[in-house]
Amino acid sequence: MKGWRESLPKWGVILLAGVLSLAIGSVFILVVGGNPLAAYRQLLLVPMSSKSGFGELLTNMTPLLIAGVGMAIARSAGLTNLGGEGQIYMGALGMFLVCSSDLADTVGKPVLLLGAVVAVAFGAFWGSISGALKAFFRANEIITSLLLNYIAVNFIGYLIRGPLQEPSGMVPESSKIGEGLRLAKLIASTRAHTGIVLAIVLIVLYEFFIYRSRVGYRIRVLGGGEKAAVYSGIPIKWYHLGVMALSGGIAGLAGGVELLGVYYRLTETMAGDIGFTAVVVALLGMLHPVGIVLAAMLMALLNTGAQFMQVISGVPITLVDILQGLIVLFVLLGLSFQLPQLKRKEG
Amino acid sequence: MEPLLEMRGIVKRFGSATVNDHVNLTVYPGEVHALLGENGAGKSTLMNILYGMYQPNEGMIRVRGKEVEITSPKVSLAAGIGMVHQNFMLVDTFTSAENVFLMADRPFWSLTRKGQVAGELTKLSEQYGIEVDLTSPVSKLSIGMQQRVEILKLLYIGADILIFDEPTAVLAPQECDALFEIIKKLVANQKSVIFISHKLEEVLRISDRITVLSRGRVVEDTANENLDQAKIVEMMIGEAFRTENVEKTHQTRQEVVLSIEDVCAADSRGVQTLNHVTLQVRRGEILGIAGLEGNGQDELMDVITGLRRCSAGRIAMAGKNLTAASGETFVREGVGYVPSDRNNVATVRKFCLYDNWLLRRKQRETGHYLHYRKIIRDTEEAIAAFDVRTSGSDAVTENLSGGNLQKFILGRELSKEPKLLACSNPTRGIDVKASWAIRNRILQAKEDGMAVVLASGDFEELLYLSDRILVLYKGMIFAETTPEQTTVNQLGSMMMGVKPV
Repeated sequence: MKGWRESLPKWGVILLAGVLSLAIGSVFILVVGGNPLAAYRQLLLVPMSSKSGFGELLTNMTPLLIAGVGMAIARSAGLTNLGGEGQIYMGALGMFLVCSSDLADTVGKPVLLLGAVVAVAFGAFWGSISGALKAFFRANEIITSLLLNYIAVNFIGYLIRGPLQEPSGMVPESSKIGEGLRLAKLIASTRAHTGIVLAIVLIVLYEFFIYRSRVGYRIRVLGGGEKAAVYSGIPIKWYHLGVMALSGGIAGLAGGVELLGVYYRLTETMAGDIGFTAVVVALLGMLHPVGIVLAAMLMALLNTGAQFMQVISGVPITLVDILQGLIVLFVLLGLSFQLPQLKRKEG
Repeated sequence: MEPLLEMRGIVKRFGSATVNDHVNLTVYPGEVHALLGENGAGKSTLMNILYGMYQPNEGMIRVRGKEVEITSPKVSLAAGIGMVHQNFMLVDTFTSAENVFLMADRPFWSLTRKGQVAGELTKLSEQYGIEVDLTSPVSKLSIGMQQRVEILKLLYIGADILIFDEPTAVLAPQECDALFEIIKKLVANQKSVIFISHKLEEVLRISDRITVLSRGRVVEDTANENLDQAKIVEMMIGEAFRTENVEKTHQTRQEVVLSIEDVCAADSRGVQTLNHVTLQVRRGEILGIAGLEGNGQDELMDVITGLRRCSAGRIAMAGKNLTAASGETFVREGVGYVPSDRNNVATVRKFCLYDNWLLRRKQRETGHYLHYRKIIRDTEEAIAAFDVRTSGSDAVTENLSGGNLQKFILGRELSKEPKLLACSNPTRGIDVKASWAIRNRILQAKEDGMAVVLASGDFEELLYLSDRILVLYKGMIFAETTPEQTTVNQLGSMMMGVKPV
């Protein structure tokens, strides 16, 4: 449980960071010969005001929110999971295997429950590798999780060129899953799907798990300092292992949902940058459930609006990467300026 | 005589709180000036201003009659002000001479060589009677010796005003005497010393002048004449203060709570620092553990509370074997612990108080789902009962002063009604009033039938509270005694491995 009072000044920092990064971003737009006001209108307002834009926004937001929760759980324990990418691919693989099995043909839609379990299990397995290396060999989870991404993406690359390739053998991708298994559309003639409902449920569960349960409390103690965790009787190694597995499992679920709601097949580009952006979502959201939703929305907005901006104003899409970078930079800068004030002692 | 240092009308505010309220401090050459006050009285802030860590909101500082603006520790050093910190600022793997060379911070084209530095240091150490080993790495030196390196370092850089921040907290009595000899030599050479300590007898012994701060103001600035401890305490807290208000009995009960046999343990570097220790603690008994830093008492306390596994031996709580048990099992079996590191071990700094209220609690108490309404109520009751001065149960823990935080921690541990309470330096760095409040609570817990293990570097505390005292030396039990049979000096000798005659 975190008081809103404590978080408030931080929200101010984030707002200021947004304004500053837009200001600096406009310099870049001017440099490439665009009109900053028009570009920002397409970047920020069009996705919110048009049906197709809003549909795209929700589509982009769903995996960010799910994976963001996974990354936030790792951060709560003081761990940084940079392996979201790989865990998403593994989760998508798990979901695909279930959906393309004979079982799916006979059972129909309820098989998705099994699919979700397998997607979580695949992601959790991938995350727990880093967790185990951390717990038992003191290997830095940032590095191991990052490097495991390459193994996962290349493993998928092998599968969709070999055993799982679509029958014609022309393109490096799998065949599509059955239409009956796909997630229902939320808004007609857009890509938005019901996965966002799952994401919202997940964020509520996150609040209860991390801020209201004993295990979540212990995860936060571990994030607050290992010494205090030892003092509290927390078995640190098992928590490292478990938290990385849980974090990876949720990222895996994001992969499964992407497969069911957007791509319907395995490709080697489906994770995009979701795994990394999700880390940014968790940090920007300051591990707070509402913060995570807002951060996921902002990142999705930037990604969605970028497409409109490029088409209408001819401002290159890479500018959005610059903006995202600037926002993260300014927020971190702003928060670090705040820290010294927090350190004073009460009289 | 012209003052060496003058601080005039220093005001420092943090937000709405005024931590220093028009503070004046005048230090003359050749003077030991003690600075006294409870925690939170504003001593550290004042010294941090003098040391360039904080800028005052108002007021000015004059050194040798010349106004200086101390914007950083570097400026402070250049003005001749140096601080001997509680945690020494030394690089462990460097020798003393190398440390001094590093601190002197010469430009890279400087032709000064380490050898020259060592030569000058030898001269300085003879002049002031400071014995140091200049050739071994600092990590191999005793704590007292490291402190002397710090002093020498400041002298080499040319400090005239030396601030000692609780210099005796880590020293044995004999080492304290040596330190006081050095301080006397310093002032004989027209250096000035600002001496910060919570130990009043030391202050009375060493200082020429005493300035007492309370709630950010100077309440007394007086020469050290016709003063005694009671008078100083009165100045500090503004009321006559009774120190002993819990009757002490020796009604140790029979049931053994903790029993350890032949226990060995290694420290975090893997060096075995606890060697075959056997002891028992009974209900209603306070067992004191005396020992110099690094003689195994930290490891002993960690082993009996489940924070560290022993490498050999047996541990049993109320007859139950806990030798290879997890930390969680110790918590479940009712082992409360007040560790010496309040900020990083006993609490999570960035948590608010009610979150820290849950630390080291067994699952049967908290349940799987946390009922924060009840937790906040319990926290607030404890804050009131233990007189923790804070803005409320949602205050961020790291904003509490040491004494208030320690009262909170003790309150939390006692609220668990443990069978065994382990306390490690429970009053280190805490002001007089809070210290006595804490000691009396510990005494009360014992009277209520708790078994208590108390490791402390404060001899008077050990003698006052303990029923029995074990002296640890090089990780072994060197002697067992009782407060009636021993004195502070005897205790000090035993801690250094000398049997009293």
